[in-house]
Amino acid sequence: MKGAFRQSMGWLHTWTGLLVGWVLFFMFLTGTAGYFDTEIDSWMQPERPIVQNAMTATAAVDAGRQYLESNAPNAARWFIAVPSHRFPELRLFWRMSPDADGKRGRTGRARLDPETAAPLNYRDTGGGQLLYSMHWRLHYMPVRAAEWIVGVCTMFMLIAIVTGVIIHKRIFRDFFTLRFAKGQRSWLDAHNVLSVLALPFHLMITYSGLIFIAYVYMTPVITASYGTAADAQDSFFNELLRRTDGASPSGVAADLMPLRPMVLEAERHCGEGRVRFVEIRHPGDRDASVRIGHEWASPVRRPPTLTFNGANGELLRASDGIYSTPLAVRDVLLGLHEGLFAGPVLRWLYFLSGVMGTAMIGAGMILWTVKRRAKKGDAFGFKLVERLNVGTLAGLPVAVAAYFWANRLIPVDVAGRVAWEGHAMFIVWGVMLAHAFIRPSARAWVEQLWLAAAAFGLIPVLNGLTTDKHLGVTLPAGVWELAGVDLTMFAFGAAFAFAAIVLGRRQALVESS
Amino acid sequence: MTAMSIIAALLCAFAGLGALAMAMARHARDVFGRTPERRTAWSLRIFGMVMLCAAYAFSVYAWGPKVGPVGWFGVLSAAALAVVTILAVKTPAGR
Repeated sequence: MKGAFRQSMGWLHTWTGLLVGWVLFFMFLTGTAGYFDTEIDSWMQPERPIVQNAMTATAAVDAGRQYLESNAPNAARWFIAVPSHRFPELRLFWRMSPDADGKRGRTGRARLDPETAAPLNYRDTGGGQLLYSMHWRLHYMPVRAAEWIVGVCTMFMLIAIVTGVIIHKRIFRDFFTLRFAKGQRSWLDAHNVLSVLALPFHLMITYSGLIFIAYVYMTPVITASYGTAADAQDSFFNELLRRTDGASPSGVAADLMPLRPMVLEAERHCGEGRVRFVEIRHPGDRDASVRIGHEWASPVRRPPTLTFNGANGELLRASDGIYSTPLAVRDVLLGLHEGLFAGPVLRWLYFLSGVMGTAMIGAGMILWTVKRRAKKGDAFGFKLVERLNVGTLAGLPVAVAAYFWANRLIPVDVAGRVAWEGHAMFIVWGVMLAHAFIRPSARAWVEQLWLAAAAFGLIPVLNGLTTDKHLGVTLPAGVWELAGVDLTMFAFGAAFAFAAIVLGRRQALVESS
Repeated sequence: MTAMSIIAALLCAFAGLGALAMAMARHARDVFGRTPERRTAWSLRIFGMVMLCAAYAFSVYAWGPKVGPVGWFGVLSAAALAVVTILAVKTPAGR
């Protein structure tokens, strides 16, 4: 009985994993890159000055308010993001009042220099944000469709993880076991080790990924209590988040109080330099409210906030960011997934776990082919999987490198630049897939690995030739956010070169024997 | 101070997982050429567990009570990866 159970779990593990493996590889790879999204953003906008002294919160709200009053005086909502170490610029966001026909108001955004408060204009780029958002929005499709595809694949991933633990007979005895140069055994070892060593991460990231978009997957739960009216979702969220105040303005004008005392009050609560954002609803109205949020100091995603009456400056309430237990559980899961609270070391550990997850999927996909090559090497299904593996496991990294190349090589003033950065990535991926189907697969592996090695390894060189924010500048100045991107790219290049050399030697041996 | 405790956490996790690996016959044979005696193996296991607890303590000290446990898992993954890599390189070919 036990044997039969394990066998059926093994079947489930193999086929759920294989069916969606390529999408999961794409999601893990782009999502892992997302842990350094703002660093990639900075790298992709080399015009940005290197900021030495961050703006204080009080200076930021003054400068932000001044800009918003002259550029969005009638907005329904202002948002001022206070510069921090990871986001050194003063970022502003606003939303106008809804139109007469009830459509949501237009939005606008601006970025100001954290030293002079002058508006900043850098090159248009998808940046790290586009790369990161691909891991759940995919590309070239409506968000809703992507969310469902991603949801189904994530569910399959969860099944693969649970069944994987069940069929791993010697999870503790083989905990540290990795044997090289033993063919199928080595791939199984690698797949096992990469899974087990970061298992808490894999489980957390997969389960919380589902919870992220649960409102989309489980809308009937909301409909059951709130009906199907157009504003049903809105009233659900308003109740869930206790958004009772500031829903609609009174229509009576009243000057907005100075923000500086409120920010100072907030700093007394949470400590100097820890105010992260100031949100003003209905500025200039008698019912204006000012919400001041603190730094994320814990995995709970909703930051602690203070809310003030905007017209008289009175403190209305302090919230620790926890509204109810179920919501707090959700916030913790989402917070763990995003890791916004992570400092530099923890961010690297997140990144490492993500890389292990990506490699785990890759090793699993290769294991499927290694296991079947001798028996089914000529079957159509086998060839299809093998070629998709080459074009994705080696080809997708090449495409991601191409995204970085496109950022540097597409002229700054080209219209639709952002779109073309994305196109560059998918065109290259398409070419890699085509190449994998044309060439003998053994050759295709080596060629694409070498291409990946060159594409990643040469990025620091490309950066040096096209910008003044290259390693020669960033290393002496200690700008690790930028230098880290170049160095990581180089390290990936070296890793792909190593893989290409090992594989090339192995094939030379096979051919000569 | 934070940086020092993070390094301490990583070192403790590495020592702890390394000791746990050395308590296992196969890995001990690959590294020392012989399997550990029962008593040695148990000492290694207890030492390993204590070191993992120490890594937890340093993680909480470095990151605080809320982020510390998250950091501990990351530290364990990184340290385990280092142990596995070293053992894989040390394993005689073909074993």
